[in-house]
Amino acid sequence: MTLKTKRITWRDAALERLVSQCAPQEEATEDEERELFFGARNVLMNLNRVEVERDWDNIVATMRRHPLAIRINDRAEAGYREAENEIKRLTNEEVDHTRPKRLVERPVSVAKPPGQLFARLASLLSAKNPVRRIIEQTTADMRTEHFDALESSNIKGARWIAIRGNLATFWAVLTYLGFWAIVGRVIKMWKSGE
Amino acid sequence: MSEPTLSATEAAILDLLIAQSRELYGLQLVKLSDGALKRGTIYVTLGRMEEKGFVESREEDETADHIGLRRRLYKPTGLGVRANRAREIARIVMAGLPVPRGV
Repeated sequence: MTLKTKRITWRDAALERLVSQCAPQEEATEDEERELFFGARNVLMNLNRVEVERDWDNIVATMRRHPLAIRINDRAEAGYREAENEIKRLTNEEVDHTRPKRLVERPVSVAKPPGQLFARLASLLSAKNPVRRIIEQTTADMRTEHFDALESSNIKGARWIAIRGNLATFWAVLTYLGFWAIVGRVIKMWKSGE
Repeated sequence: MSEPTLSATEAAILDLLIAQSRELYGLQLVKLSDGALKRGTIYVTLGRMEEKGFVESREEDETADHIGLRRRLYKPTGLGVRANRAREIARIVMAGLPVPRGV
């Protein structure tokens, strides 16, 4: 009988590291930890190793904005304050009561790279398919602009780029498929029939 | 076989590629064109030009600062340069101007 052992990939290691860095695991229940794990997997899903290593700080920051991570961190913070008061009561020493800095200011959803739907649909096509190439190129452009905007903290700009990029991709596919030529022909026929 | 044609948009792309004399991404072409080229149509046009043999492309090299999907770099082919030059001469002749030397 041969024993089958699961090979630990860099992605598994990154997942473990990400979950442990986004919230104190001793504060999380099993369910919460599992949910964090899924969240972390979604964040890492579309990134390669080079991107993960390079953008690690941003990835951790993104993951810390996960509502669940915020909840766990808040709980940990409350525990910290309680312990602090307990120390004060026991030792009667002066304790700094300034509120510990929160890891994040407000909850936002975990960010995914824009154009995922189109990229997934394109991956269903063969590598030589021109539609796939068009979708991949427009999506790559959109992501480049999107990440540039995020790097310069231009959140609104990044959102606008994602919307415009998705529209551009949709438009490009319709153009390639000759949709606008068909529409033009139909209008021409309709007008000539009047 | 039908003769390849060169539309105004294709000529604009060739003008930019020749003027820059380096490989360019589609997005760079859009930005350099000052609104003449659109994000939604640039890759359809580039794909058509590649089929006609006016441009050639390659995937960008994998570097540490690249994000996600790899983009394609485009450059004009010899045929593309000649077609663009022929179009320029035709334009000058149609305008009734003398064709300058070296064009």
